[in-house]
Amino acid sequence: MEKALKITKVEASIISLMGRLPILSYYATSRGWSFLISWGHRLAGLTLVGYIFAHIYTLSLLFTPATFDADMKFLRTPVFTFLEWALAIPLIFHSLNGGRLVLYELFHVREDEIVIRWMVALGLMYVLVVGSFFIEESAQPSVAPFWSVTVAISLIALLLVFIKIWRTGNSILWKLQRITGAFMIPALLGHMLFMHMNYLTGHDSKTILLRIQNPYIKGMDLVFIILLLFHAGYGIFSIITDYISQGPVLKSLTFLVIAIMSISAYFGIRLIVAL
Amino acid sequence: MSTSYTITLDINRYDPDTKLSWVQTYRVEASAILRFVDVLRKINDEQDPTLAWSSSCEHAQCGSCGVIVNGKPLLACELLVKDGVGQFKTHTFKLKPLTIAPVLRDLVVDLEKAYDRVHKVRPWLIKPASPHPDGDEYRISPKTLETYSEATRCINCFCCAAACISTHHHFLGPNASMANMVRLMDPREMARGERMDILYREDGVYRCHTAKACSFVCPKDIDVSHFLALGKEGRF
Repeated sequence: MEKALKITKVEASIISLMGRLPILSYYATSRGWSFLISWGHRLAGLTLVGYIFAHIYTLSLLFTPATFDADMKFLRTPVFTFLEWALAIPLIFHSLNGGRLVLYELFHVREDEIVIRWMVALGLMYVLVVGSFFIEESAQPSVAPFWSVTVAISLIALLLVFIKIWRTGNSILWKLQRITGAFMIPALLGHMLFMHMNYLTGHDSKTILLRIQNPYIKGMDLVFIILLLFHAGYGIFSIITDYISQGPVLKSLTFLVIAIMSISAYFGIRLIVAL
Repeated sequence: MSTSYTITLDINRYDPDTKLSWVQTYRVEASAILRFVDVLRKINDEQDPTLAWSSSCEHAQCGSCGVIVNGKPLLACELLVKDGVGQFKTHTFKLKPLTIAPVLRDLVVDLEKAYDRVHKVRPWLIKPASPHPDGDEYRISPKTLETYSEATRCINCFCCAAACISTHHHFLGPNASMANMVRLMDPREMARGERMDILYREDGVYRCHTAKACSFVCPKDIDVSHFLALGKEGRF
């Protein structure tokens, strides 16, 4: 059972301030903060899904590197740079909250308020670190060690969740959702950090093409796109089934989600293989 | 002498004969320690005898007076006017029927329909174990009992189900799922296979998203999400 957490004065002030905002105060009073975090998880997830599509599109421009570089140059305005950095917020929130859910649901971690406190602290740190990379733009990542460690952590997370969950009688798709999520928490957070360590890493066609032609990176990207789109598709399906009862509307929407994710996967895989 | 408040109640009304729905506003002078069931009765006595609402024990034991007050599902017999004012920081309260079953009239919902979900999990001992050879009783160790006795406090008021983020199109609901969990944790239950099938059925426990609104609103202070998570964890 959960024990009440002693909150600091700073935390109390933040909660009180947030509790005065119109929609937040309504749901915080009527359903609790965890309910709001769940909605935040959904909205962050949907934002990331939108970004995946945009990401596949921009990467497809790499077929004509000059167009890609011109677009990246065009996007290098303060507004787009800010938005690119701001993407770290839904990413870290969705990732860490996903981790919290895995800990609560599968590993019996009931000190949920402490986990949320860590979530906020680590989230802030991550957003600031990504922001510092945007300002500095000169960090030099060592590709092999960085990705070796990141992939190792991702595989360990995947394995731990797989061992814990696989024998349970939960729906297979639900289990895969948790397993893919566990893999992507470290992998995607690492990906965003890596891509923004300096400007060229994520915005220069030559640098990207050189990296993507490495069979190891190509393999990683293929795994990424498949896991990501499955995770996104099941997440959206899960939200839809909460609000739409049985019937043709549910079937049509399910078909639509599968179709969109499959088409995106096809283009994404084709892109990675061809580049 | 206790303080009194002038409170405004915006109540969702529904007439099954005309199928008309509307919101009706009542202004009530209420003592601070009146419960919301008392306020509703006061409206019946002094302003509008046609307003329908339900209650039975009025001691938070039967769960029949569940309503949604300013978005929060709760028992009208438990909420004092002063607590309502303090909790929601307002003197205006919007009262709606629980969203877990069709509305029969005003704040009264079809609890029979709501209970269908609970009945699906067969919340009794399907196959009871034999009693102890020395007597009629079945002995359960205090340590075992402690793991699930909290969940046995559930009165099926459906407040958790009304608050649940998963709604109830494809989910049995928190209270019904927990009722199954109680029997899974009960050493007297021998029909474990059937219980596991119920636990993991298509509208079973994995449809819970751990938003924990169930634990937040539970009038009996049961940490419902803890019990549901045990199912997802594969504890059994």
